Amino acid sequence: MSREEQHDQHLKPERTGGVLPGGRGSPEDDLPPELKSVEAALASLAPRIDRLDRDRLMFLAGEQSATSGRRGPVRSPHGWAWPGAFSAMTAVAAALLVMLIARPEKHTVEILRVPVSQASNDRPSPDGVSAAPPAESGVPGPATVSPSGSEPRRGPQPRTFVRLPWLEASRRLGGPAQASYPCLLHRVLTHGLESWEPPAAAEDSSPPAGPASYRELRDDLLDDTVSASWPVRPVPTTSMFLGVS
Amino acid sequence: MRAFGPQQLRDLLDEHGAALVLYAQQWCDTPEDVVQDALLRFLRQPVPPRNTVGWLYRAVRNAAIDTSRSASRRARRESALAGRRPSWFAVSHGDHLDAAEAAAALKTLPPEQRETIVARIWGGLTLQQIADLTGSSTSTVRRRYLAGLSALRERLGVVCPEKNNTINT
Repeated sequence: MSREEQHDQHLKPERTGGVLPGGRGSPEDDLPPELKSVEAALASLAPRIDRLDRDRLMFLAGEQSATSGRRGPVRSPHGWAWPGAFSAMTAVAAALLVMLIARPEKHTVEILRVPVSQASNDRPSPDGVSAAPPAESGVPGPATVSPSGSEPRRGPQPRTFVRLPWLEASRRLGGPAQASYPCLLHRVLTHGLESWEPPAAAEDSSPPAGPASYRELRDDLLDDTVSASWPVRPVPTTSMFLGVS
Repeated sequence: MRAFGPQQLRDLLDEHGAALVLYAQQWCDTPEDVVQDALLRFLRQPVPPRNTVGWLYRAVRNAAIDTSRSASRRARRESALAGRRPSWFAVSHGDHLDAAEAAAALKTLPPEQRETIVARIWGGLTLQQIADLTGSSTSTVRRRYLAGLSALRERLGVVCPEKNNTINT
């Protein structure tokens, strides 16, 4: 069936049975005879056909067709569903990509194992890590048990130096060589970020004012009644972050 | 891509144009504009509706009701122009009924009955289509149709050829 025939099927009303004058009827209209006569009499009247300006309507239809042809086909409201969903998902993916690229770098802790000779034991540790007490010349170093469980080794032992990002940052800012991080924390938490300024004298070797350990920092920040109930245990300064045995 | 060409539009006008105008005239005084707008809106559809006639009658009905509501402020002018309103039906000497009397009788009917009769007799819609159009049940539409025909029979004095039963008005 061609397309024109299909449209003609849509145009024609249903004609399934009894026909009134005018060609319209339906078997479902089982009317009494008196009402059928009224129906037939009314159907004999024809609506006026001159009220609709056919020429003007055809002109407007052609003009509308030309206008829509220039603009493009009129999309149905549901035609924007898939393009809209695609655009939304593309925007979300782009936003996630930007967030992934612009995220701050993670601070990593690098552990360097550097063998230290006997002569460097007298110099203090430059990065503030508590090291083993320096061994005097001629005196064997602390005994350590090798992993294999054999005889303990003696002599200079490799030290573990830990590179701490916050200490490196403090050094770059011109802080003292042995700046205490708990001290810095205490100063920032009590006086704000504005108090975090490099000291005026770079050669000032006086110990910074403030707590020297995290325990002292905790005690300063908390009330005495609260801190008194906390279990007391010796915690080295850097082991909280390093986990170095 | 338009599916309706000029020839299909002419066929649509010939088949249903006058009936659509008569249907719209129940509510507003400018049924020609209402029908014209409905036809143009029909042509703008990206996909032609499956039931063309039902779609057109629904579009005309909604537009005519909206027009009548917006024209409520011009009631005085409408009453003044009542005498100059165009007639509903074409005058023909072979009619069983007088066109003017039939139009006047239709205007006295309740809106639901008048709408059902106009859509059924001149629109060619089935009771089911009228039910879908008005949002009613088929039984309700049939009841309105029978009541409307009975009222018109009383007003117009139509003679039943079988029983020869006439109710004088």
